[in-house]
Amino acid sequence: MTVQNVADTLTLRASELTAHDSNPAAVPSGFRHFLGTPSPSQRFRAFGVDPISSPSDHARLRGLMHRLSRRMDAAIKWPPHQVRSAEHWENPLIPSGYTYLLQFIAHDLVHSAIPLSVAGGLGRGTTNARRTPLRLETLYGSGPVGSPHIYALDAPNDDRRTKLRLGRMRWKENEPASGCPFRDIARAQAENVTGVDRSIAGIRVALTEALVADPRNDDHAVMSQLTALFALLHNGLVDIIRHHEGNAGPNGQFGAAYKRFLCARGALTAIYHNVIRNDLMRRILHPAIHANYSGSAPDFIDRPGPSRNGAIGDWEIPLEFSHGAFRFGHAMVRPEYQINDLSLHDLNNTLEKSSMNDPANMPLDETWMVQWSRFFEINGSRPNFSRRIGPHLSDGLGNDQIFPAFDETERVGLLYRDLLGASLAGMWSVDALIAEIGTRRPHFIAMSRLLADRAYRVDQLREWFVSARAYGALTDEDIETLSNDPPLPFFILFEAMQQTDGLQLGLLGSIIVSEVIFGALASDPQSVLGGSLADQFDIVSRELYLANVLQEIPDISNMAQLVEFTTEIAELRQAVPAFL
Amino acid sequence: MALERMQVTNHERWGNLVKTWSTGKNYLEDDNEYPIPTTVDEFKEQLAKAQVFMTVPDRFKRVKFVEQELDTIVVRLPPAAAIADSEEKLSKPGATYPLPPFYKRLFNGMDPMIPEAEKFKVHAERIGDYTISYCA
Repeated sequence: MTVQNVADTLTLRASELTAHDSNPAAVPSGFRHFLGTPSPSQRFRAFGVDPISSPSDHARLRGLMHRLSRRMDAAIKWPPHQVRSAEHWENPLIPSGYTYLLQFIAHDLVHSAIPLSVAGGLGRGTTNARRTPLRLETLYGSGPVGSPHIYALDAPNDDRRTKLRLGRMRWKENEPASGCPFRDIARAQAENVTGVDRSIAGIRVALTEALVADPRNDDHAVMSQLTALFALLHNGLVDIIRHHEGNAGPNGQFGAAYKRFLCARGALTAIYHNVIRNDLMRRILHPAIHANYSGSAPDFIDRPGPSRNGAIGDWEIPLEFSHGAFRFGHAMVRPEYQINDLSLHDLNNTLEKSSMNDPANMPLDETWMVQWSRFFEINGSRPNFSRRIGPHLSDGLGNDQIFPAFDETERVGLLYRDLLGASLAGMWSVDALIAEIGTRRPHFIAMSRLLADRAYRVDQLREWFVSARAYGALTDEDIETLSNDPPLPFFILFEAMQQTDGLQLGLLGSIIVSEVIFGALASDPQSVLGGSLADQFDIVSRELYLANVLQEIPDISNMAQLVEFTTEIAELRQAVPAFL
Repeated sequence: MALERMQVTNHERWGNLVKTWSTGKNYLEDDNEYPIPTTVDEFKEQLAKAQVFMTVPDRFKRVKFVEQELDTIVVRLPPAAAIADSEEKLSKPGATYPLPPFYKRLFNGMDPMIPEAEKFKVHAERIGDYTISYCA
């Protein structure tokens, strides 16, 4: 919530403050452009017009993005799989848990007060408040002092808060006398100054407030369950560290608590980075690009200037990542989820389950307790698979209650927001971006005909646009402009469909994602200093203690291992509903 | 593999599309035309135009519209395989009976809770209801 307030105050960089009125392409604080700021001729255009320099053409731009989003409503005819148990639209290489790990990571990279599509242009509350990337600020907020509402006492005899707060789940019928287990995020009621009370009188109190560092981590049920998973892991790490502590004495408890917190946070951050590097990136990236970036010292092409991103807290995210390439995760969302052994919920139900949208049905009941072997491959489990990556989203993301229309197009859903936001961001055009990468890494571009051969690319795009004209009713003029200058988030999806049958990102998407994610990891001194995870534990621990108090933690390189370790230290092996 | 079901995202738009097909008057209040579709492809195209966002599984190959008359009993029999599939799902202990989300709005905002002992009773009642209802 604190971060939200910070984000509400639009603060352009001082050097840009006076120039903003005359320079509508000025980038809000916390953002920058990939590979440097494109010149006007290198920016995305619609009908040959730069949306940044011509706001009077925005109505025409909105119409174009509206029609493109409707073209993307047509289902993709994917080729069948070798694996007969998977639906043709499913991606057996990426279980659905990774969809939401990507969303969690997005929250750990970007935090703006208002979407660019709704704001209608750069500025106006679109500042990115996340200035230290991938350090789990989305989980820890400003720590026990800055964000005390998300922390709980870690032992009955300790008055310091170093554990993350969790909340009890609910049983639909017959609540047990001993109380329900702490399987949900913490939620609370708050009296509303408007007098509007969403409680059900005499039956249930509305829990309107999610006690989490980042309100987006309660966007929906799977997201809040993933947040609870990380909180359980943090809390288990606190217990392990406490076990190795000496007796601090009555005057030493304060310092001991904070050392314990910092050590647990350092350990969890190291685990998180290890999983991103060795598991998540390997699954989503084109193998050639992953091989190029996953080594110990990748040669980045996107290095911000010496005055930017040099110090902790100065980090800026490229718009081409936040409003372009990383939107691909929306295409991975499934239409329904087998949450646990007994409950199957459709996407609409899943998206609705948050304190904001459905406070009277909080905390989450047993039908929403995620069984993690349904979301990651654990000991041979068959998880929900994500959707193949392509220019089409699950129908639930067109929900008009959650993503209502906000402009004259009357278009509902998430897709139009993604496309419009990208079009208004002053981003590189796909052509110019490919050309710029080609000057720095010609061998990357040479690997893909779709990138290297412009005429072929335009033909492929045009062929796709004309193949389902009933969807969107694109005009000939629309098709020409979109084929020659496609919006970046659309092209990333199109490229994945063309190059990998939607099983991974294509080359351009992989390059942008690699540069930002591996670049953010490389900017973390802890990540750079340590080699193996065990080495990093040693460094984290010895900064705070004389010995390595994290020695008993195994190597955790993937989400399956993370879940299994959490199951052990949180004593959830026999949990009901099942945790693993 | 369990039977994939049709899923409606925007129920009000879906209802307005049905009313439009039935009456010929555009209840969606947009510029599109909605003649009664004759193929699944046309059906899907109109769903998209109306922003219903309905998921239609690939197993559906044909679409059939039944215009009911006030003096004719129309009993729409669900496929036996669909009943068997539902019964199998409901037989599992703890399994939930799914209801569209607008029911919650009608019941004070609480998720409808069907007791374990009444699952099959409600299943039969719902089948009986939607098999003969005019829904108008």
